[in-house]
Amino acid sequence: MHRPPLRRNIVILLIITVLCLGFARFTASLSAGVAVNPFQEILVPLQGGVMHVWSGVASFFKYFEGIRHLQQENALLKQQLRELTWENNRLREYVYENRRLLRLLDFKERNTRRFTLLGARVIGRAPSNWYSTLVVDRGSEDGVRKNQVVVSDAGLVGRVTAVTSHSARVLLILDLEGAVGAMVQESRTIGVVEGGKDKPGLLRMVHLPYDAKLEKGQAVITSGLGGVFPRGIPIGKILKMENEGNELDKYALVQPYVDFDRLEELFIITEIHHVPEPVLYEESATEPEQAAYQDEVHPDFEFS
Amino acid sequence: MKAGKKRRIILLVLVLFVSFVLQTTVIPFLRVGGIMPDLLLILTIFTALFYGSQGGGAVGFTVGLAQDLLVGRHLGIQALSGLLTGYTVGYLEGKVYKKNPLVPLFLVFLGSLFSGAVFLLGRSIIGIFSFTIPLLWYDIIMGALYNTLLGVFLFRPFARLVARPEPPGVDPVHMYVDYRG
Repeated sequence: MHRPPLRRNIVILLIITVLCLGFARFTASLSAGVAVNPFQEILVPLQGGVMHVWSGVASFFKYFEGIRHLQQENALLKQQLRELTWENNRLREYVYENRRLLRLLDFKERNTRRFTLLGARVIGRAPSNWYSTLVVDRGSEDGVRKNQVVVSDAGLVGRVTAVTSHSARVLLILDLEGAVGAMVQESRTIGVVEGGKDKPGLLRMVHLPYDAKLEKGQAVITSGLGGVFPRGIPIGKILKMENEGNELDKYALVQPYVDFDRLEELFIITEIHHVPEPVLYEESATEPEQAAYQDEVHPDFEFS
Repeated sequence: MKAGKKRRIILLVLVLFVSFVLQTTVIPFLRVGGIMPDLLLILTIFTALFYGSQGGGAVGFTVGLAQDLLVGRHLGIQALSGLLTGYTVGYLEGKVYKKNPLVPLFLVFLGSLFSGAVFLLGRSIIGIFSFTIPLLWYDIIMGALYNTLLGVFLFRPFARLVARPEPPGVDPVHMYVDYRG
């Protein structure tokens, strides 16, 4: 087969390299990336379908794991048990879903004074290790707009960076570029929380004052500075303080409240109502209510 | 275009499309220690093995661009990384000893490292780098190992589906392994 000379190929590769880098630089300067993304719109139904099948397959294997210990039983009992287990599994799924939805409903009701919340389901995730983004099944036709804040009942998830008519892309706070203005709830120490690639799934709170005295277990919430994220949304809790070479560059490792790997349903804040006192996450709740909330959502979270 | 070639290209496009959907839905659930495999990169490297530098480069560029479009930021970085990886692996393909069945796996490992290096370098050049490079190298090396592991299982089915047939009279075993099973 005829092959073009290597020198010509190298010249072509160099030209494409320069074009790609130039275009990447240009799109990097756009605050929200490429806004119109028909490609994503095409993928949405397929991604939704695959995730549906994946959930079914996962449930199927979970079921078989559950009945492994029954192999000693006779055939009739096995059959009966299998039927009952199927039924039980189905009902348990309803129970789990019900619990999840109740928690979401409770969250929504508690925050109706402050926010207008739109429920959404996760239908896709970032295709590489370098980005932490999600695709949800709500788009501009549902009232979703760029830069709207995304939360779950556990805490802050991220913000919307691109919207199509029936889907939206969410930049997670775990992403290298998903920085959030934050503060330590107890001491009101201001900083910035950003994704930390050194410890997967953890955040780093940086730009801390050199004399900041932070302790393990303290809650980190949004500071409201920067104009995108409203104040008072829980982000996570401090795991430990670390230094980057010298005492002046210290930062805190933060464990996010949200389990990003298991995120299925979430809320998009479509409107922020200006009320004098934040009611998010029941900071003013009675002690039994706080205890119940703490057990259910943030087992290690302490109300100040 | 010959019917066989047309069929193989259609199959390749289908395989890549299905892989793309899987990469954005199911594959993220296979993370180990925060690292997930890159199915599309593995297939780019396999394509380069069977279709040479131009085929590998074209497929790498296309799937990279698709990933760029989906992520919506730094458009062109993953396309560039895919293009150069596909092209380089395809170029190496003609130079390596083909009878060793470990060659494709070694090239998956090497290609993954190369792809990561191009990606990091590209990001640095356009000035969007904010983290220490050694930590990201850990991601790249672990990702390359994960890709190689997945490549063990994917190579044979991929070769059966879309590989170019051998010229008549050539022992098919010479192409890495006897993928016709």
